[in-house]
Amino acid sequence: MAAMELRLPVPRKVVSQGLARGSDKHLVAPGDTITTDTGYMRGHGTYMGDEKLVASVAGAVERVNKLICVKALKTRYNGEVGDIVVGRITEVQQKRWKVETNARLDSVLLLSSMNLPGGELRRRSAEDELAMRDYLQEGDLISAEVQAVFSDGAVSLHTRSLKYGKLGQGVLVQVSPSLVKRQKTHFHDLPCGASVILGNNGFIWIYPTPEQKDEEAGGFVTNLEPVPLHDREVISRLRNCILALVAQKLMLYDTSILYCYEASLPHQIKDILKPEVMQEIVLETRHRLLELEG
Amino acid sequence: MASVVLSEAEKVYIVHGIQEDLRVDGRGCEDYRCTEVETDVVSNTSGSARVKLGHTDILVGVKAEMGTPKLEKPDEGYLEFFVDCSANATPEFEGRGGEELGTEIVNTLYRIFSNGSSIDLKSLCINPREHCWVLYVDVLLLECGGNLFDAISIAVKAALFNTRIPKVRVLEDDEGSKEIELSDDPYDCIRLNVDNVPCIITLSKIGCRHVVDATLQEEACSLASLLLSVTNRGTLTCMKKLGKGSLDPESIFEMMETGKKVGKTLHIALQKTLEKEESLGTTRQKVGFLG
Amino acid sequence: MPLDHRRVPGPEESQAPLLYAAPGEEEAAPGREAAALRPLLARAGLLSQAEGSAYVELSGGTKVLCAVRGPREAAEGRGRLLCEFRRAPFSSRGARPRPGPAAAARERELGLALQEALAPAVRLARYPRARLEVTALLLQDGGSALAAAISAAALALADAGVEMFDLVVGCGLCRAPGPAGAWLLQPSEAEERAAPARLTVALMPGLNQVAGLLGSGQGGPPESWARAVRLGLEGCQRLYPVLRRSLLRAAERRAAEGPRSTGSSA
Repeated sequence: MAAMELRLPVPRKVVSQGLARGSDKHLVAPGDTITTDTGYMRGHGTYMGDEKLVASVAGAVERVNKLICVKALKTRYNGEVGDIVVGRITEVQQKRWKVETNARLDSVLLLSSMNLPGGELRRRSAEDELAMRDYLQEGDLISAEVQAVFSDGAVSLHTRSLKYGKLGQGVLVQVSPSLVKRQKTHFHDLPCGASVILGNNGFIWIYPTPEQKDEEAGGFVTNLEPVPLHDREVISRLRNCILALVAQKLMLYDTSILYCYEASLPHQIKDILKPEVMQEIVLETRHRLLELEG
Repeated sequence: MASVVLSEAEKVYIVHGIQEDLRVDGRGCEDYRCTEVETDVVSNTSGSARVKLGHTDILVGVKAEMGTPKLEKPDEGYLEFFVDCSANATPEFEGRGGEELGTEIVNTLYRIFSNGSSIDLKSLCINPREHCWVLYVDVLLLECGGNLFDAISIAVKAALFNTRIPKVRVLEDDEGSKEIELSDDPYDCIRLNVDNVPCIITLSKIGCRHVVDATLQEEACSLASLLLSVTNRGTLTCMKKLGKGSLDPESIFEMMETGKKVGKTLHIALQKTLEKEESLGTTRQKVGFLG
Repeated sequence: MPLDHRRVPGPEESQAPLLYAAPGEEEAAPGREAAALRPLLARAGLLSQAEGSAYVELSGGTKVLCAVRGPREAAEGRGRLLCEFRRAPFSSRGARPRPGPAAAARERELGLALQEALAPAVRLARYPRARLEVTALLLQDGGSALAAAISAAALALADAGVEMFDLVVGCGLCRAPGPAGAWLLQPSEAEERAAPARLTVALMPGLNQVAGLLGSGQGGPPESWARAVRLGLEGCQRLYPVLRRSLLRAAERRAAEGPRSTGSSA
């Protein structure tokens, strides 16, 4: 049955506003003086002008001892070694792939920093170089870890572990990197029946939980069998929940996603994206999260 | 058009989901995304409307100006369409990039309005062979998130509904020379009857099924789609195949049936929303671009 | 599309005399069988410099000449099919169209329709980094012009040796005026002018896939349009043998002339 939901727009409300504890954060706009004390050191997002430390981006002031930085609230991804990222191959070059990871510059995945079929300790031969497009081609998605950050800010990735590698069937959601909470692990098998990879770069991959662990993402043979309907429902619901959390600017991590998922259960999957439903379930999620924190 | 790149596996996932009538965002094959319509959003126009369909964002302004009727149709006014693909929507539109898409949209709009019944053009005539109203319909793409054509047609219809054309009188003196006088009461104006204005329903063929209101990702999985313009009574005024692929004859007939059904629902919903907005009048707070 | 600036566009205010013809003067078209097809004449490979060419004439007036250039190297990565549809300035019955953005936009729409009808048939994946240019020139418009152009373009592509899944055959239709007007196959110009609705279908006859569809007007409910599409597809199937034969005849002619390329090098 065809459904058509047409309505007049209503002003959006952000539920976390007002409740926010963000009031203790020192927020600045470009050009704002942060301090006139010359004893501090100039960090990212600031510059020195007339003995004053001035902000060059809009964001929150962060201070580590004598170092003052301004962290932009909305920005592209700034890579850090050890981050988990999800990225899309944009180009196959000699001995390396270019990967779009929402960073300022395309990231690089070297042929030598990935596991190839047939054992980890294998020399890369000329044949491997020729067969690069068989492993990964333009448009493919991968999960990887940041191996190094170059001086120009470009990121080098590696997939030298079975948990990284080419991604199969699933759904990608792109959010602002600032909304992904840093945690011990970014791979989560959620109890609701699907798994997510929360990339530090704001790319979030939702996929059906693989049955056998060893056959995981690392392989280059993608399973193209249809995903069962039940798994699809869970994945779609998770996707919409994540979008709802993002619309209301809540941090994304396993607990917040799971609570939001549970809060959304009374609603149909396609209704979650309606503004009033989004508000309702996010508000409920927030309450539960606050209770948890005590 | 704005395009996204997907991996093979992602496409397979989308296609299989459509096969089972569960799309990535939880919709069924014949569901639209939640749509918002607001009229009278910019004031220097005779009528305007803004439509948000998912991430697609369209602004339409109508300006009524006086001109001379076309020679072939001396007792009718006419509509002119313009589309601006601004680089705000996608960087691909920068420079001349959006021109091709713009021409395609304009041509489609002319096509769906080209039959005599969409708008009563005779009511736009002031005096035959000399003066008539010309409605300039300007379409601005603010954001492209899939299913442009449907969103544009909804916005055009809403803007025409909102259009108010000032009343003019033709005064004729004894020597037969005519003079035009504009009514000085701003509320003394004519409204257009938009009941017969069609809306576009684009059906994208994905796998063996077809869906309405495809997202950008779904459009990337579709090789061919069928564009239909449907009136509120379910008659078709335009049909057009889009895309690089071909269609099975049987699926075309199925798509036409779906288009008719969905089109009727769409018209009812749109009419209801427009009437509701009008009845609320000034009691409703305008949202505009601050929503 | 570049405008021809060298040509004097003529006085702004000139009109075709037909505009002043008394209404109803034209005699009504004689009643005809709805499914009757006009005889179609086709000839492939008549231009010497283009890679492929074809000429299609519908008896009653429509004359289309089509040429294919390429495949040749393109600046961009993927294979591209570019189609252009041009009307000769004197092709239509009424006033000579004034060159300008409006006329260019109309031609571009038909060019795009041509491209969308041909794209499913051409195996573009076999031509990476190459582009194919198809130009259709309408010499005289006697109705069903787009349909004739589609057929001619497909013939020209095949004549150029471009890899294709199937030929494409176009067929025009229009609805007779009146509330219960029937759909007529391959209308003449007069019928087309009077019609409340027009439709062009393009079929890949071997695969039975609809390659192109473009129609508008007051055609009534979907059932009526569906009837029209069915009738049109049937028409395409009936035109197919004629086009196929003309292509084979062109190939025969070539064979009789002897293998040109090898002949010259020997």
